[in-house]
Amino acid sequence: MSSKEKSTMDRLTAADPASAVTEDELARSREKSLAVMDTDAEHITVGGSVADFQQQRSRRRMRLAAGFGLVAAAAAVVAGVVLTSSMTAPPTEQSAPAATQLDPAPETGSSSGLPLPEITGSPTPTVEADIVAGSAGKLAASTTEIDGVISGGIYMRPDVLRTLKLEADNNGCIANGFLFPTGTKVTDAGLVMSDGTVFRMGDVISFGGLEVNSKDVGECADGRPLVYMEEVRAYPGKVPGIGG
Amino acid sequence: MESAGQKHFLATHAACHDKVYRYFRRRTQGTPAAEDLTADVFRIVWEKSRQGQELSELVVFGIAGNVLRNHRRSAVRSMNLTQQLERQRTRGLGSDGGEVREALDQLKPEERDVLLLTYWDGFTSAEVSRLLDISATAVRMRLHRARKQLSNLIRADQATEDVQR
Repeated sequence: MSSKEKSTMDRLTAADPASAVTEDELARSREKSLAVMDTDAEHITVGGSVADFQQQRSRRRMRLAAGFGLVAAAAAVVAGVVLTSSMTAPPTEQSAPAATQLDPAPETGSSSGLPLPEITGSPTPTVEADIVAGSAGKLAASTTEIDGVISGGIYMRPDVLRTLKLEADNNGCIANGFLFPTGTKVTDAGLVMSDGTVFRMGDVISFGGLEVNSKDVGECADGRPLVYMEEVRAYPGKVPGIGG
Repeated sequence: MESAGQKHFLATHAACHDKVYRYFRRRTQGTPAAEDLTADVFRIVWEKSRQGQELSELVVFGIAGNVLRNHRRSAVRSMNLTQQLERQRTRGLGSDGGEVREALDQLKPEERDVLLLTYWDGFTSAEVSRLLDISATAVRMRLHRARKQLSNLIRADQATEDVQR
């Protein structure tokens, strides 16, 4: 290393922002990061826990870049996904359909006549990730909202690998909280993406990419896939049949 | 099992916390972000500890790197707020720190990463190689280029200032 470079490196070392870190700062951060031991949260997903999902063997893995979940917070940043099953048990009495649904579309191919929603919310797209399966649509999730959820203590990041097995409980259910691209429909056939790609019950989809515009799905910061679902509840109406 | 996990977590926390916190302080704006991200890292460490996973310092820093990347993507999408704050923070540094910081910003990201991991975080070339999953040769090359480039940039800045005076 030349003397000029050595001098530059000395200046670089002197410019280290961490040189201003105080013991108070460190103590505060230590306390905060030790507090994680007090939490024992488990993410709930349709049909089981996150761990359950991760242990499920994929029957069909598709890549789908899509956004994900937020609850009721803002009607402007919304989408609900209704996943219904073909099982015949009557629905349990539950609260009203997803408060996050926007403009439920009556025509979605439901043979039962039950209005199923078309996802029409148009949250500001914040990530330019293509839907890998079909290359249509954009991830539409407000990171502001997501960050709000994160700061609320739930670990959830956009753009990380997420896998989801589309399934429903005995009563059908509302998987409330996932954000899918505008134009996504929930029909008797399953989940129909805006480009016509159909995902049926049992399909395993993964979505999110480590890098913006990447075709490769990413991974969570801790290196494992993560499914987050805000809420699962029975669909409060007649359960339509599901094809496939 | 749980107590073993706790013990392991506490040992990892004691060994790595301060370094991780400084890592984030060097790369984010202000103490709240560094605190949050550090807590995020140790939440993941806690989960892994409970699963009985062994966590070396390099693994913890690998987690920190991923957490930082997620944070940056999120921040960029939030109206480039990070950049604005960074500029504010840079102005808050001493004149020399600001100058160095501006020069750092002009380096290629991959070269800057190697440089900062080496000179600020104190990792050896071998450790940087493992952290970034690149060869030791690549680390040395990047480090060499980064040093040279930074030195040239600072000299150029200095020359410009001298002319202006």
